[in-house]
Amino acid sequence: MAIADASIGAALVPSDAVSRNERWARIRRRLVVWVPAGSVTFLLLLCFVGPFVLPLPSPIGGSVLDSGLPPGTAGHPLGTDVNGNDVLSRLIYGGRASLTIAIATNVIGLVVGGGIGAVSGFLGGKADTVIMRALDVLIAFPSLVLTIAIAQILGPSVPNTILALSAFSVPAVARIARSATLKIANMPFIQAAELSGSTTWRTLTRHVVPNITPQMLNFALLGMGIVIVTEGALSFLGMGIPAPAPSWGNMIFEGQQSLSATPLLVLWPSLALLVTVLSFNMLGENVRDEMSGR
Amino acid sequence: MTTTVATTSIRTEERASLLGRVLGSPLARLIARRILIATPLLLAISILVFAMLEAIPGDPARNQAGMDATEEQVEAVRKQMGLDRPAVERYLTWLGGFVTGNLGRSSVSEQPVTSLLAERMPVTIELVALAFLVSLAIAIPVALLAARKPGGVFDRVVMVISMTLLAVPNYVMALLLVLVFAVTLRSLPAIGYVSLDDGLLANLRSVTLPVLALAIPLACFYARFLRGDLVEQMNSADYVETARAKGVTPWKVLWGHAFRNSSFGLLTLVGLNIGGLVGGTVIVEQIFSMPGLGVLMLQGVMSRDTAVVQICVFIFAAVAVLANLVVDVMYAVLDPRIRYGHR
Amino acid sequence: MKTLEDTAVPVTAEIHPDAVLLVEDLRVTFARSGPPVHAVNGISYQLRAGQMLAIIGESGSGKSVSVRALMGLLPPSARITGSARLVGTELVGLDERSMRQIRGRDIAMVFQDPARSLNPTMSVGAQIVEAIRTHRREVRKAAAADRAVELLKLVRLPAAERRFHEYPHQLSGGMRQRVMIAIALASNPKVLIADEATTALDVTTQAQIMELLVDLQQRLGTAVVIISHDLGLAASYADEVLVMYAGRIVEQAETAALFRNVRMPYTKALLGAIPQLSTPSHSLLAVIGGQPPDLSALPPGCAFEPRCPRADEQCTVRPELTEHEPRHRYACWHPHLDADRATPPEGAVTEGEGQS
Ligand SMILES: Nc1ncnc2c1ncn2[C@@H]1O[C@H](COP(=O)(O)OP(=O)(O)O)[C@@H](O)[C@H]1O
Ligand SMILES: [Mg+2]
Repeated sequence: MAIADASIGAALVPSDAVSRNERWARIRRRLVVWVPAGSVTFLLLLCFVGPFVLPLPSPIGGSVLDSGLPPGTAGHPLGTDVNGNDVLSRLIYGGRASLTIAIATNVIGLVVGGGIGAVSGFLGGKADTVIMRALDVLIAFPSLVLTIAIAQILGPSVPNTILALSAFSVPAVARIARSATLKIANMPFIQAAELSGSTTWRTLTRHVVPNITPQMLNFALLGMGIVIVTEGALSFLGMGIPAPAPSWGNMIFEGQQSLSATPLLVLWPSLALLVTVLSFNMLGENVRDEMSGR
Repeated sequence: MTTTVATTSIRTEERASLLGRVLGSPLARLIARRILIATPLLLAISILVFAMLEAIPGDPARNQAGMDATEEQVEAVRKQMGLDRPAVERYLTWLGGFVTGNLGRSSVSEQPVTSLLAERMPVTIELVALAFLVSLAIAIPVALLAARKPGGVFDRVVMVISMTLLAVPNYVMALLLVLVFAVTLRSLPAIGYVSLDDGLLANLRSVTLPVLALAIPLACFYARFLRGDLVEQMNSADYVETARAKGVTPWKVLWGHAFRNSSFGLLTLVGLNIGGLVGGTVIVEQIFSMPGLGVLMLQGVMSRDTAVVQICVFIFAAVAVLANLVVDVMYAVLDPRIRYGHR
Repeated sequence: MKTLEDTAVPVTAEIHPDAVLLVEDLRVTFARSGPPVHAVNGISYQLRAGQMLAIIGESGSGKSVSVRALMGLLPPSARITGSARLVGTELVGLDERSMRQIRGRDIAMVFQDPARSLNPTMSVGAQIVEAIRTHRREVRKAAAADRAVELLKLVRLPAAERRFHEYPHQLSGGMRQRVMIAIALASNPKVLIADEATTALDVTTQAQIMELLVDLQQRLGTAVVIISHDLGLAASYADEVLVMYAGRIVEQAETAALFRNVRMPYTKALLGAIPQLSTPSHSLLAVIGGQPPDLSALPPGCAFEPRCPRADEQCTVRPELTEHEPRHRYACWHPHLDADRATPPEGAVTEGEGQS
């Protein structure tokens, strides 16, 4: 490889990184990290703390008499939907459901999938082959199709939606965890630990897991968007969070029925979905770039 | 110099041994190996689908017989549907039917499942194929233009827009498109599929919005990937430096050299996406009332139409597996490094 | 066979009538956040048709940057000053368009790593044809293909017609480098630069490629610049040697003269580094210790002073590159004089002996 010419790569980096735009570029880099981080924090606070501190009307059980109130109506800043429920309240409660499901799915993915991947990769051999082939079967399914099938078996509810979504988060994380483990397993310090008589379990928990964790967390961050979108799709199809409980997906579905008359009923939850997914994606990309040392 | 003659004669020689080379070629071996891996995977998928459908609560026989059927009537229907036999036997029957092209009848419409598929599949295939074409037709020129001047105005605008659109789920994209083109502008139909038999133009008009709903997020994804890979190649690949040293123009270096190399990564990505895209059609077909495979599956799921759901879900998974196989093979055909058996 | 008389005149003051490249006070500075990097700090030399010049120096001494500057291959962050005239055309400050026409046509370059310098997805022939047609668009594809095969024969690639259709990965390292040379020769350039062109190759292949370059230089009359960190290589093949340190020329002489009398302690250290061919030969640190200088904070004196075994106070004032002996210039206050004569390395050119 480049024995004497390590500088060639550097020599070709476009120059505007070094021009007078440097300061602006640095500010922009910082904004790109802090804006999504702030936005995610805001969303979490709004959806999880909001219901307790904001004077929100109930998201369900509204009166038909109040149906279709326009935004700006007293007590209903974003108006009401066809059932007379407060849209803002439904957005926040729906967001809470979406985020709860997304976080739970990712935690399950991390713990179960990460565990399976790490053990499988670390043990290697037959066990590894069998586990990975089994996961291949699950990974082959398009995520929405798989979750629809499982949601049908389990029936619509929040915990069941989480389980259904986990059917694709677990194998996906397991694959990443396995390849990360394989990389780590050949490193000298792991071999040193093994030689010094550390048990397999101990090596796994003390050395392998801490080393693959950052990569897993980063993958989970990028996975948040995917889970939120798929959950929305499931609820949109009436197979996720059962109405009348709000979720962004079923709000979009309800709004769709009066799309031409009150497009805002679709736009609000769509916007909420967009901002949330965008924030998580940006955050995830930044962490990834940071970790790959860019 | 008589090299023209010499080179042509070599080409003929190559052609003569082509057949021999193909049969014993690394490519043939690669295809064989891939099929060897895919077959058990497809079998396992079909078993899993079968098991999942077994696990869905509810009694198909009772469904079929109707709400107010007597216990005996239900039993009769059960026998008629073959549901009284053990699960393993029923699976093997299904598998046998699959191999011989007999997939049973829909319990709802009473039509043979094969003829339902023949009706529905072309719609989904059209949507997916057009979505890929449109997304690549957008992504490739956009990525090339953006990579021409990384950090330039066009590049930045593209990056911001694509990042945003990428966060828009296809069902939201679908509704936004309906809102703009069908509700507000009234320029395109919001729902319904016009068959190709009724004219190409009408057909294309009817699929424009669903295709865009699928293609736009995909185009953003490809554009971002390709742009990143192109910039990387342009910045650090040694062969790019060689091309520059030859005096080749930057634009020609970009598409003649960097893009040539990046296209292989793009191809892999497309292959990996096919499964996801076909899955994505489920919801888009539903929104636009496209009579495709996705809607067929959803209707089947709702009405417990086991025979229909079984094959639809299987097809969705199988397409993903086969797409990866095809991409591997195409990769091998196109990439000289693999074509000639290295790596 | 060359006599001393027709080898190089390393003095820029008198311009040789055959000079194809005249470099004068070339400087390259890289702007960046923080202090700028002074990679090349005023070098001058001339290159005649049919001459082989070696630029030698430790890794990071500015060899590559100095020649890339000539070809306009540096990033926009590079500020280039001074002058470099290629048969009358000033290259410094030339706009990209005109530079592109010269690049590959009048001045061509062969890079270090042949495995990565060729496009893996294009056949060898297509890459040579591209080089031909970039500068002569009127040449038809078939004619260019013929010429490409001719070029492959010229660089002595066995089975040229067959190789024409093959892809880089099907060739060995040495063969790939021959292809790179064929690409470089596509337009009959006046100057061919080989930047560490043999570094990535094994010793036998290295010798074959060097012999090919010498042969081409003599047959085509191309001026060749070889860049290397390996003084031994230069000794065996080049007519003239230019030793660089921290972006400056510190010693410059005809090869034979240089090996008879190595003056500069740095050159001496490079010479000492030669025997360990098995170890990365640019690891000069092992021989003299210390770090190469920080190019963004060069000392006012001799840049080699912190690492030099002969340094004293005087060395905090920079010695100019001076022609202390006929056709032998060096920048040093305390040169090794005749008392400590250098033993030329194996294969080195000694007086009266040429190379072919
Ligand atoms: N694009 C660049 N930006 C900043 N510094 C550079 C760049 N390219 C090269 N340099 C620096 O210039 C110096 C000389 O590099 P180079 O000419 O490649 O050395 P070598 O003699 O090994 O060929 C090195 O210190 C290198 O870090
Ligand atoms: Mg170099």
